[in-house]
Order: sequence, then structure tokens, then C-alpha cells
Amino acid sequence: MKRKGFWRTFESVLAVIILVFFVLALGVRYSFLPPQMDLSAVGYEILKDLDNRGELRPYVMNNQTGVLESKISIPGRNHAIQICDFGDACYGTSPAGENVWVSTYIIAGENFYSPREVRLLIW
Amino acid sequence: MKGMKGQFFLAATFTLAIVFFLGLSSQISPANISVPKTASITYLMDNVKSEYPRAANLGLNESKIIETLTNFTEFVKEEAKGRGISFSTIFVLTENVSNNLNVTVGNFLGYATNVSLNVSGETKNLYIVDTGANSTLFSSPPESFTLGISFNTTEKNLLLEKYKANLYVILELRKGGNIVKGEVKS
Repeated sequence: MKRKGFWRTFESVLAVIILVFFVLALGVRYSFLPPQMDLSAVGYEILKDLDNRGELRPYVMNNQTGVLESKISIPGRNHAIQICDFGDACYGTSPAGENVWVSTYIIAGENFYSPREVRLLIW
Repeated sequence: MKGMKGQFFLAATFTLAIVFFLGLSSQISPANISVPKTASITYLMDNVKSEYPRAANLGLNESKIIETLTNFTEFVKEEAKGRGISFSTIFVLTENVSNNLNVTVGNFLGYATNVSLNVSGETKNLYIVDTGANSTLFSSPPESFTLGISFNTTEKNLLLEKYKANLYVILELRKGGNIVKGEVKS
């Protein structure tokens, strides 16, 4: 008994399955990234605001990254602070996350000249 | 050929899948790559403009204002370089010295330059090497004086007070084709 119709249907279904598999496989590996807000701008404004309120320099000069991190809250995001001096010696931790936004803020010093760069990392 | 319609479907599926894959590869970047995104040069300019007067005040308090401004400029230059930004600047500082006026120019344009200074009619020229500073003295200018600064194609006239330390900075940040210019007067 010949079952040509059955095999053709089977092969067509197999073709569709393969095509769907490819699309799904690509979907896992690649993704269309939705438009993201400029978090580097948000980070800079946060650091600037802290500075304007006098809550940045004292902690930066003492390399108190933890205190600064506790003063920052970004809903739905993680963040970390790094403080680097002229010799590029840095205090603080680097995130293990992906798509990290880096906002930087340079300060010349507080009571004496000692330039530092504050980095707010958001991910 | 008559009994191979299903195989044509399979071959077509593979072809479509490969074309689809190649098309997507050229259009989409993988989401798993960590791409640090830096603040734009606009934010850096805003930051640097507000920080130069602070650096000058701290240097003034420590009686080493030129050294401080030079060091701060080099610091900003290094930090900017780390973000792929080119930073160039020239700063002019006036200080009262025994009723005379000492004018110092710091050059960080990336090349040596001649700067013409005019203090209330008296003109002097300064040659300044790159990343260096040079000073000249103007005798007994009026309490309120005009300072003319001229170099390359830039000309600037400022009305300043003699008995106060005055700082004027011209800044330029460049990243690729984007250029942001600014100035600080304090």
C-alpha cells in the first residue's frame, strides 16, 4: 500500500519544524534590544546632584565607595562606585553584569588638591 | 522528480534558514556582549567647566596655583583619553604681584604656540611649548583692566580686576567628529 500523501505531509511538517527550530535558535542567541534610556546621563546627574548637596567629595576623598553606593538608588538597576586617582589606582568593585553604563565625574579635591575620578557603573 | 515534493520543501527550508541566518547576522549584534557605554563629551565638558575654578582655588590656597592647574589639566587629559576623547586647552591666569600684574599662560593645545597678550594697551608675546606654561609681567596696570588674548585664530577680550586672581580657560573636547567647545572665567 502506497502512502505518498502521508510521507509528503510528514516531510512538509518536518520542514516547518526545522524552520521553527532555526528561528527559535536565533531568538535565543540574538535579540532585538529595545531602545534604552541613556543611563550614562542619569548617572552623571546623580553624581552631580550628590556633589551639589555636598555628599560626594568627603566620601570620594576617603575612598568610601560603600557609603556612596548606599546614597544612590536606581529602581530596577544595580550599581557600583569606583574611585580612581591620577595613578589610576581604583577603589571599589567592577560589576560582573552585562551592558554596563559608566558615568564619570571628575573632582579636583575638597580641602586640598587631590584629583579623583568617580565612576558610577549601572547595569 | 514526481515523488519528491517533500524533499523540495526540505531543501527550501534549509535555504531559507541559511538566508535568514546570514541576514540577521549582519543586522543584529549579539546581546551577550558587554559594551561599556561612557558619558558623552557634553557631560565631561559640564564637569570640567565647574571643576577648573575649584582646582584654581585649591592651588591658590596651597600657593602653587600654576602647578595645580597644570596637574589638573594633565589629569583631565588622561581621563578623557581613557574614554577615547581628545582634550585640549589653554588657560590664562592673572595675579597681582607688588602692584604689577603677572600673567601666566598654560598651553595644552597639543603643539607649541605664540600667545599675544594685551593689558590695557601694552602688548607682550609669549612663546609656550606644549604642556608648558610661561609668564610675563605687566607694570602697574589700572585696578580694572582689559586683557586681550590672541593666538592662532582665537581672540578674546576680558575686563578684569587687578587685585583678584583671574582665571580664563578655553576648552575643547573632541571625540570622532563630535567637538564640544567651552570656556571658563572665574
